[in-house]
Amino acid sequence: MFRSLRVLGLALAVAALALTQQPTLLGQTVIGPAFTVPGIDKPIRVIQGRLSTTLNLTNDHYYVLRGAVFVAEGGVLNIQAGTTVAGELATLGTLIVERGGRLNAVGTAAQPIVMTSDQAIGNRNRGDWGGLIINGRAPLNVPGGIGIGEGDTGEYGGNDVNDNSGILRYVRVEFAGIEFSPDNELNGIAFQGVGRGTTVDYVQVKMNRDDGVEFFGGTVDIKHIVLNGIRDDSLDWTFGWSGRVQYLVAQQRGDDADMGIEADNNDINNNLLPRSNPTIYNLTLVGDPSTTFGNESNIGMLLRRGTATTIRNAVVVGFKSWGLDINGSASLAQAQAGELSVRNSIFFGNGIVRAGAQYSPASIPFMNDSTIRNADPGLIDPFNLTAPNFRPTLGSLAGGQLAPATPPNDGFFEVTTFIGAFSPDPEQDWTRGWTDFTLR
Amino acid sequence: MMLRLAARPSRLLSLAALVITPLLVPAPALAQPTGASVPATSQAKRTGRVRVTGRVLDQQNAVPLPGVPVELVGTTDVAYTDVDGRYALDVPAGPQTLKVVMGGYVERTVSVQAEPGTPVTADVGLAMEGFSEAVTVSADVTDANSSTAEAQLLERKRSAVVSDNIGAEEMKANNDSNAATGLSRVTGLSVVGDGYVFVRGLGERYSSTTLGGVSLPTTEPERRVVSLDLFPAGLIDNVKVAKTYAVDQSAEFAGGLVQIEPLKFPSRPVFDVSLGAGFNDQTTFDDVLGYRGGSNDFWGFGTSARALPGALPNSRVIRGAGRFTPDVGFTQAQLEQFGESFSNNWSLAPRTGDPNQSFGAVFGDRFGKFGVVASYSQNYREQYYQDKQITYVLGQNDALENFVDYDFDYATKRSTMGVVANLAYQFTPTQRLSFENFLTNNGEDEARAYSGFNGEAGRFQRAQRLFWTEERITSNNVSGDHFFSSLSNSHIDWRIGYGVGNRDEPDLRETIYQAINPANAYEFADLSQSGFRMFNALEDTTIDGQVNWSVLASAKGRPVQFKTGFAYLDRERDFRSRRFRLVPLNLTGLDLTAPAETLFSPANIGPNRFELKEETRTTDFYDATQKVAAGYAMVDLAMSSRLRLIGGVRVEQFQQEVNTRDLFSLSFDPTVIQARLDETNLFPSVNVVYALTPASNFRVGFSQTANRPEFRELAPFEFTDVVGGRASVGNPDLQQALIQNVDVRYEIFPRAEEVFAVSFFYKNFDNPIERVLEPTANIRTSYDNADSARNVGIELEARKRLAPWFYVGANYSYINSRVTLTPALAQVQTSLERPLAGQSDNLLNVMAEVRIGAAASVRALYNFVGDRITDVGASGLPDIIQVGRNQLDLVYSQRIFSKLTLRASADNLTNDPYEFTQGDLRQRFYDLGRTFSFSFTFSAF
Repeated sequence: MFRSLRVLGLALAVAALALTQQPTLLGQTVIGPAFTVPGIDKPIRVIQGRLSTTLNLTNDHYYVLRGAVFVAEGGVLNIQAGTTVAGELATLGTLIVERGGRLNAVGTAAQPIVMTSDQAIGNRNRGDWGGLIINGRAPLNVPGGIGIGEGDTGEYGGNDVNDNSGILRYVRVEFAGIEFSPDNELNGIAFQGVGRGTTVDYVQVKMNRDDGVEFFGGTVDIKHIVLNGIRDDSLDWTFGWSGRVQYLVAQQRGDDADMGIEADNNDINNNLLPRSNPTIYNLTLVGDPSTTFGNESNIGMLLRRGTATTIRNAVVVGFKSWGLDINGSASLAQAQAGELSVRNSIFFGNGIVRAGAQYSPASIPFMNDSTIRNADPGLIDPFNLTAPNFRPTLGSLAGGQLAPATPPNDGFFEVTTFIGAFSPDPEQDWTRGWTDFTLR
Repeated sequence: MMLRLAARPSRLLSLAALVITPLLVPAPALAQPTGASVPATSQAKRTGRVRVTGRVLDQQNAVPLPGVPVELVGTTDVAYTDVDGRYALDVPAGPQTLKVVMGGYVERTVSVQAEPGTPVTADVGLAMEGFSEAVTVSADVTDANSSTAEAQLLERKRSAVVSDNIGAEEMKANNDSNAATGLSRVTGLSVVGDGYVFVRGLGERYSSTTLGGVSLPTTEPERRVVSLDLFPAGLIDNVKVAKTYAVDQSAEFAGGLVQIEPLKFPSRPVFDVSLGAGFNDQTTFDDVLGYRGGSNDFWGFGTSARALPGALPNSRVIRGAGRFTPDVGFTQAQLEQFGESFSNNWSLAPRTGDPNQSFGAVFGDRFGKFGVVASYSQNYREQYYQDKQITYVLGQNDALENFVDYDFDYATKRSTMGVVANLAYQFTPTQRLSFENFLTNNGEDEARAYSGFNGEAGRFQRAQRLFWTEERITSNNVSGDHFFSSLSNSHIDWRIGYGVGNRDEPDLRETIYQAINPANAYEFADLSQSGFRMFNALEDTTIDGQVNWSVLASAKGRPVQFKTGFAYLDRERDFRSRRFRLVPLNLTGLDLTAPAETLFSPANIGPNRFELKEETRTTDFYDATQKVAAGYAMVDLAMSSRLRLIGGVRVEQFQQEVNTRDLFSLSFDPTVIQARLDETNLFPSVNVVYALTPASNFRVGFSQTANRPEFRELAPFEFTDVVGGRASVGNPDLQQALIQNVDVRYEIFPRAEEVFAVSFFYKNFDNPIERVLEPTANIRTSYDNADSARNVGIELEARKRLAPWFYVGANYSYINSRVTLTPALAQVQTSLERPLAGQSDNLLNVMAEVRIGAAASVRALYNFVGDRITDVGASGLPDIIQVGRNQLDLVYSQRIFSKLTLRASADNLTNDPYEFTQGDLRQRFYDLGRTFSFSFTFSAF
């Protein structure tokens, strides 16, 4: 009986696909012919399969990702500024860059590249499509040094700290995070063993079902990052990520947000090496203190399971339970050894000032540092979900009163005069133009 | 009671002349008294007669001898053995003599002391003429029933291979309700989980099961074996476990071949009815959990009440259409309609546990040339238990830290129904046709709740799950047995079996609520297992055809049996799983502490609240086929009166295919072969049996056998173990493993019912297929060929009647296995060298039975299963070990009057817990309570 049902099912599926007339060739990318749909202002092309050559997407079309689309080793996917790529909800559309593949998505502030839902504007939801997975050859702390992506998305990891998976500049990834395989929802962007030869600058992840960006090992640096309306953790790392971050803002919505930062070294064996140890300057984490949307958005930073990190110039406001939580004996040991520290930072309006759930502040050396403040940082309108203003007023605690730490002079970091991701100067608001805060 | 056999020279007798028999006996021991001149009906009514049954066998190699006349000396009464060598003859009370004559064999006479009311069995061994070393073989006298312990020991003694077995009468005396618990009493066997038998420490992938000689379908999506707790004891005559390989069986052999024999035709009319009840001290009449199920749940049929709503298309994934490709997917209105078409029943409620109940009936008789046996059994059982489970991580200084800590409540209702209907038609004593039908259906309803802290989520969680599983096996076999004395005493037997295994898991439902502070109200959690429902269906079909031809000849006066045959097995598998979730899109203003039935009311289903989304993976649909064609030739040679050599070779061609949809493609071409294995191999086997004395054997066996990948293990894509398991990915490069087996056994059968045996085994595995762990974020499993493994062990067994009223038995096994993995193969697995998962070092069974007067007995049963690894650890975490466990059961049996028997039992008297440890810490802990039951059996005849 199964077989006859399946044949019937096949016939119906074929009939359903007849309009788009896709030829299917397993193992290679097929970009379908352009077609039009009433009410859509540009012709549409469907992409599916596996790319091992170069493919250029241009802003005179819309592109639909059907199923998981892979950029294989040797493959290059170039996306022109101003191009919109939509993941197909019905087929779990997802974009995966394998080790040795390149994604060059170079937008501009005026013409960002948008990777988004295929649903109508106003009817878009978290989890409408998969998101972006980038697999590189940089080190991880998984035994054996190679990880395997969930849902059969390939291997990642290696020995090349300078590995280059391409460029993401002025890119928005919206409404992604579909449940790709049981119990496995996708991140907006998963950086899996991605090396620091990769460029990530001016990227927004909005309304993702799982984490906003998550790092699985690797060495990649990121700058100018906006994470808003994320359902799980806004920024997440594990398996030994050791990149650098400057200018990152996360804004949560209380319906189902998790941590501002959830940081692990290795979830099973907390002291595996190389250890997670990113350096983060100028961070603004905005929780949702209201219960209008729900009771979630609880912890600003959850640093656990053996992670080390250097966090400076952070503003953490509006989380319902804790501003900072250091969890597990292995991370406590890192804090006591000085490998895990947060300084020159402001925690304000978080349920409990700055204690962790498990350990008293007295046991954590930097907690008593005079550069950690519990006072209003003076942000202009941080909790506005559709038109936020994360800038501090000039002369406020974040806008000049509290002296920021000076980052290493390594060519990546810039010296700032403010705490948090934003200058009081509106001319320097790096989110202008290319970001979008529409929530459906 | 013993018989003496006297040998004297015989006349040649034409077998052909004996074919003309007035009364034709359908089945083995069903033979009625047969006199050439006496009609059976009148003979059956003769009073004061005693039935003598038995088998006539070649004395050297135990081959049954069909068509042989057994005469009652001094009368014209004669019975002819059937194709199994069985006869039955009614004789007057008092001392009698039987004479057995067959061409080419030395004639024998047998003295029988026939006492009214006591059936007598006289098995007769014949020696070939000219086979000079004549030995006197004592014929054992037992009940005619092959399901008694004594009969099972006889069977073992004659067997060409090392084997152990247990009969239905023994299982009844032990109060074992199904084949799995019955087999846990057998030397070297342990039962893991729900009825998977480990033979000599080797897991379910290394054992296979036949029913009435044909391969069985399975009800397991990830495995090829079948859970033996599906087989009610009331349908079984005996279960034999062959521990060495003979080439007339499938070459896929390592631990053992479990051969279940369904009910046989009784030697006299049988009509038994039994009725029983029981209670568990932590379940029956206690507060347990439940929910509103279907009206036929009690009988084990609950799938139709939980069927996928008819409104849902069978053929397309239920997900929304997009604006660029509007024809791929469904509209919001359709999604709402689909979402509202499901039943809205999610919550568990307290209820009172019901007592266990059982009913059974067996009927067997003969009608002319027909023989019939039919049986029906129905068993209902409830179990409630609380189970604490902890997930650890490795923290500072490699200390285990508690990460997830749940308290589970399980309430299960299990209903097993079994039916056997067998029919045989015997054209002549040497030509028989049989039709065997077997059905077992098992419905299990599990209400599960858990609560506790989840460190990953940082929240306290409470979950409720409603889970119905229905498994069914039907097996229909047609077989023929034919003996042609004119064709060099050819025995031809053939069988065609058609089996279907089904497993349905309709509408598994789960909801999770959580809270950051456990003092607050818990709110509905938007998690992938919350608001989740799943429908699984598996159908496994087997067609098994076999024909065997054996010739019994004489070479230099020694009996030689040549045997050859062909077998063909076709197995097909269809599996489909559909997963759905009600995904919250907008929860603003909704009271999330409300029960799920309120949250998922029709008013809340739609694009502004909860929307139905299908989360089926493309690999959740697959079909698979397996074809095995085999031929063999073997010889069973009596080298002398003491030495028997059985050797042969089998050639097997094996093909396996798995087809599934490509994970990332919408298109599905069922003819695309996704994974395939095709092998042809030779499998030799040699078994030597040396009779040190007439009552003892020394056995040595050597063989090479294979172990092959299961269906999904070969498939090169990821799938998810059906219920809550890890993701798993197949490996298309898997090779079949070859296994070299060496067996040595010394056994003495001093008297009926008594045995002493010592066995040693050694197995070497080339390329054993092992489960490995892969470093995905949640760890997934895969399969690979390890370099090598070995498994070695010793088994001891003794059964002795110490006094007429006192019978004891014990068996002990020590098993030591080792798998070696290279680091590349082990990936994140912690142990590179360890015992096989699931293997216990020590297994012990002790049984003692005391008879109280003529009508009552008490039997005590003790079982110990030693430590074993249940889960291999990853990333430095230690392996999880199930701690050794004792169990003590008592059974009391009392004949109230001649036709009514009471049996009362107390199971699990010491109520030892099931305990699992990781490192030095307890990882899991539960106990099942004590169960007290009683049953009455009424026997009409």
